[in-house]
Amino acid sequence: MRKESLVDRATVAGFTIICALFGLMCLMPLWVALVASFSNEYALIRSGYQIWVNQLDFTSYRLIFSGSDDVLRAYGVTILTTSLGVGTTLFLTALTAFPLSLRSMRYRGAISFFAYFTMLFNGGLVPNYILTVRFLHLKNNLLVLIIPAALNAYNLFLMRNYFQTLPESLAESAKIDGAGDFRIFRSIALPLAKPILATIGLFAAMGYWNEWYRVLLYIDRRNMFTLQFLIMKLQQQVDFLSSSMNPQARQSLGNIPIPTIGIRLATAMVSIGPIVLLYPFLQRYFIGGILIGSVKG
Amino acid sequence: MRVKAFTPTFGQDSPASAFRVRPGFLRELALHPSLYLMVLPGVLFFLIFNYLPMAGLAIAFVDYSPIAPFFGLGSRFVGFENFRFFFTSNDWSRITLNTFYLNTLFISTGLITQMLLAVGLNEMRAQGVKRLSQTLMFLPNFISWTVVSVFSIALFSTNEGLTNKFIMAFGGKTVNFYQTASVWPGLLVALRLWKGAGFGTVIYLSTIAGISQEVYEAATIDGASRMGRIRYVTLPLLKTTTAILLIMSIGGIFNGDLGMIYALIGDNPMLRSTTDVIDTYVYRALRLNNDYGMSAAVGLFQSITGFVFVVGANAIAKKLDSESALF
Repeated sequence: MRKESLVDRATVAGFTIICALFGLMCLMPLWVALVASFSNEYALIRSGYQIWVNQLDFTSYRLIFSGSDDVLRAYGVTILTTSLGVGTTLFLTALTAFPLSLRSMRYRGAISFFAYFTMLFNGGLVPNYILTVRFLHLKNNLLVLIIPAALNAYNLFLMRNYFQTLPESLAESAKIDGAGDFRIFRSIALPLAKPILATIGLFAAMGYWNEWYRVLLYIDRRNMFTLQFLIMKLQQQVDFLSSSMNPQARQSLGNIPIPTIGIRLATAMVSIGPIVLLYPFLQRYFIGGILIGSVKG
Repeated sequence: MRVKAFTPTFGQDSPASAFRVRPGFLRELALHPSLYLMVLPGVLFFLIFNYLPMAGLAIAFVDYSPIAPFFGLGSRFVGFENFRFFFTSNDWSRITLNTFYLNTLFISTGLITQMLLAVGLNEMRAQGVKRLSQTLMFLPNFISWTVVSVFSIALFSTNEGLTNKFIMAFGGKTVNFYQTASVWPGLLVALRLWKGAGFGTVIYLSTIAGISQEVYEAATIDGASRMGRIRYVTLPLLKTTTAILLIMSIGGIFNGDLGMIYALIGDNPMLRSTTDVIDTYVYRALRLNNDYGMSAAVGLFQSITGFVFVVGANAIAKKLDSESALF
């Protein structure tokens, strides 16, 4: 291979530095918050956020798990809405997309356009609010976190395009063997669609896990808060958790005040824990998902 | 490889004629009962969660009263009164400009950074460093704005924040970030780049990966340096992708990112002059003042401008270069 010129090597070095620095910058806030969540609150207030732990202190984590039920309950709510939400999303999306991928269905064009138009035009906040609260009566109902997000035109088209790539002869031969449309969907199309189901499922899971906006609008019962909304509350009202700590937890602290900043940081860390830990293993599915959506076949 | 947002195709029927019910409609249903049964839940879903709210935009034209029939839609008709109220208020120009200005900043900085990082990642030779920095820069995309807001406090709070400690170390004067409106457009841009730019490189990377190696080899033989190849081969070939991403984001140029702004600064009135956007304003009008009529009017304004902008941007793109058009 030809030896690269000095300018070329400098170019490569320059880009390497830029990208590596950006990567480090992406990690930095996460790291600072993680360090702070394991630090002593006094030290934090006295000397500010650090990049290394000065005084290792687990008080905040102990308090959010033993001092109040809020965090564990919010975890439960979040896991529940996420799992039910992903299930509903996959079922509804696949069920609607499959017939639309078949040439034999005459009105598939009309129905696809019916779905596509929702991407161009929407009713906005107010009509949705009235629909949810007054028509569907879903205020303070966990279904409001699960159902309205379960189907969207974007996922529908991703799924339909994927089904369209499956060879039609498979369905034809199954039909000759006497299989009905439902049977073909369940036994042939769905098993072959696993990659796209995984991708849509992952993105849906991220959406449900990070949901707080619908909670802000439609839920005011504390026992139905999601993790992200709990963090939101802690941002606006720093003593939201500590003011309702149980007496034992208070006593165990002696006369030290409850670490409110630490509690907020620890809750945030606990809420992104599963994402950060699972993400490296799932990364390629996420990337694959974007590319499936963006490549014109 | 051609990159496209996604490809909606509507069968051989053109959308307009597709809605006309033709003879044989019932026969078609009878021919494939199970197929139509399968799409029924999805069709009902769009009808309820997307089309009913569109019909509900009629609220923009009434003096909304919660006790009126049809969920308040039967309130007294007032024509364009709600629009007039909004467009003659002092707020509308400020929040519309803020929305437009912030989104323009987000879109332009986002696209430039994504392109730069994608080109950079592509030029990198050290595979380990490349993979690690890619993983790190994708990660923030999956962290919600509420958690970003916790980070933001760690970075920007006045006394404990890292940024101020950094400023002080260099002998500068501390900044009260959470009380200074003028710094927020910059901070929002930075936080948004932090969260989204890394993951945004994926589409550019795939386009670059699709460029034929022969083109690069030919350029090298012609004596092009690395920089030259980037400038004359890579960047021109990213034009179509950029146009498509631009069209897709232009449709939302009047949609403020409520999720981001509300999570990061909440209702902080001191920062409103630069960060109050249409969506935060509508949210406040609805939740604090119960002003349904005006909120719906603003929502309708946003939907229509969004629609016009998407269709318009696409038409322009088509005229300039048919490859770049979205539909």
